[in-house]
Formats: sequence, structure tokens, C-alpha cells
Amino acid sequence: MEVSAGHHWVVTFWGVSCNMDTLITMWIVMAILLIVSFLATRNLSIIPNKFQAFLENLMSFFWGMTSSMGESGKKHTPLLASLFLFILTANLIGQIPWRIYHLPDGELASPTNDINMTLAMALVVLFYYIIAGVIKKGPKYFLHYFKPMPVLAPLNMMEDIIRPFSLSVRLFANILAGEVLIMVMLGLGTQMVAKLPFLGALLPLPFMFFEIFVAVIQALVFTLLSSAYLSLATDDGH
Amino acid sequence: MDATTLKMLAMGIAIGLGVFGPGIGLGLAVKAMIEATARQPEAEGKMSKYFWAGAGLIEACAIYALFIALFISSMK
Repeated sequence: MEVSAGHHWVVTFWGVSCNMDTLITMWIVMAILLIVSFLATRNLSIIPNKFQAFLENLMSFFWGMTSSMGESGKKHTPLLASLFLFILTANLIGQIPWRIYHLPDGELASPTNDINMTLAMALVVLFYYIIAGVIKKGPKYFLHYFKPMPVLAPLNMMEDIIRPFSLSVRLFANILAGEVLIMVMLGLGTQMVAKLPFLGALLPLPFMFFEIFVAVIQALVFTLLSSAYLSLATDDGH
Repeated sequence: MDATTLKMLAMGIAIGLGVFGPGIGLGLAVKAMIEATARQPEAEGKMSKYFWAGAGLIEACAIYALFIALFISSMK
């Protein structure tokens, strides 16, 4: 069985080519998040029902992440909460059996197995923390390249390039590698137990459990790193 | 040695040497985590938060190597 993960169905809209399968699953993830938030905020009350209490607990986790940025840190909560919830849902969506539905080309899987998606999110984080630093400290923000010593300035500038690159490749490669692993295990399983392919198809099951775990960890690492970069940029972080 | 053989060799070397460092790194991280938990069990919540974040970062280095190995396999 030929293993080719990450092959996308490319559609061209007026000269711009898009990976249609990534767009479809991305919109599905957004629809899920919007429906959940709509249902949670419908009848807000002081004494919350279980669903609202669960989401309030989740929100307090994001408020805790911004506590290291001082008083004005609370306004950065929407970015961090959106990043975490979107990446978590996007990573988990890939474990649902989408292959029942056939696209003309390529397969439906996590939107985060496409480096375009993760690079876009990483660039959003990059521009956000630069602009937040400039808003907080004025143009003197750009002097931070010359701390602690002016001779380290090229290194600090390189860091601004390496950060979004490493954020995006970490997330994308983790998810893609997980999908390739599951496909290889599936091919191996169905070949090994050729008389009963049903049993062989259970071989990827432990790897799918591991992928659920990796999905949560990668969402957490992306969000924690973004909040760390943000707190470094808006303050002389500790 | 034709291109396919070299490609396979390159993939093997990339992933083989690539997980060497992160393996040692994760071992050190787990060692520190266990020692610290044995010393102060009540601080385990804070420590496990740092541990999982650190483990995610270290694992990413191994994943970079895997990514390069898969990328080599898709080159011509």
C-alpha cells in the first residue's frame, strides 16, 4: 500500500491555489467551535449549569496563563484561548474516520497537517507579539534586540525568524507524522493478518490513542510558547 | 549507488541519529521530575505543568528529524 500522507486536493480560485481539503476541515472545526460557544453562552446565569461551569473552568485556565503579564495581560486572553481551542479541536478531528467520504483527490484529515495552516497561525502570533510590544513600549521596543549586549543583535533578530518557523513545524510535523504512522500501521496490519483483515485493521488503535494524547500536548505547547513570547515582548520577562 | 539506495540510506541515518539527542533529553527531564516529586510531593501540580511543556518541546526536536526523513522520501 502506498503511503502518501499530506497529499492535498488543490483548487485554484482566480489564480490563487488552495488546499481544498484543509479548507473544508478548517471550516468544520470553526463550525464546531462556534456552535459550542453559542450553546454555552445562551442563558448565562450566576449559578451555572454544568456545561457553562465546564467552560468557565477552561477560561480560568487561560486567565491563569496571562497572569504573568501583569494587569494588562487579560486582554491577550482571546488570542491564547482561540489558539488553544482551535488547535486542540483541529488535531482531534483527524482521528475521526473521514475516509468514508471520498474527495476527488487527497483525503480529509486534520487541518493542521498542512504547513500552510500552522505557518499562518505562527505568523499571526509573530505579528501579534511584535505589535503588542510596540503598543506597550513604543518604538523603543526595537531596542530589545541590543539587550543584553549589542553584539548579540544578529542572534536576537534570527530568533524572530526561528520562532514562527519552529512553532509551525513542530505542530505540523507532529500531526503529519502521526497520520503517516497510523497509515503505515494500517497497511502492515492488513497485510500481516491477510485472512482476517478486520483484525489487522485494529493494529493502529494504540497509535490512535497516542495521537489523542499528542493532540492535547501540542495544543498546550503551542499556546504556552505563544504566551511566553508575548510576555517576553510586552515586558522584560522573568 | 543509485538515487533510491542513497535516499533510503539518508532516511535511515536522518532518523537514526536524530532521535539520539531527544531520547537522552527526555530521560534527563523525567529523571528531574521524579527526583523533584520525591523531594516535595505537594508541588507536583506545578512541576507536571512544566514537565509536559518541556517534554513537548524536546519531542519536537525528534519530530524535526522525522520530518526531514519523510521529506527525503518524497524528493526525487
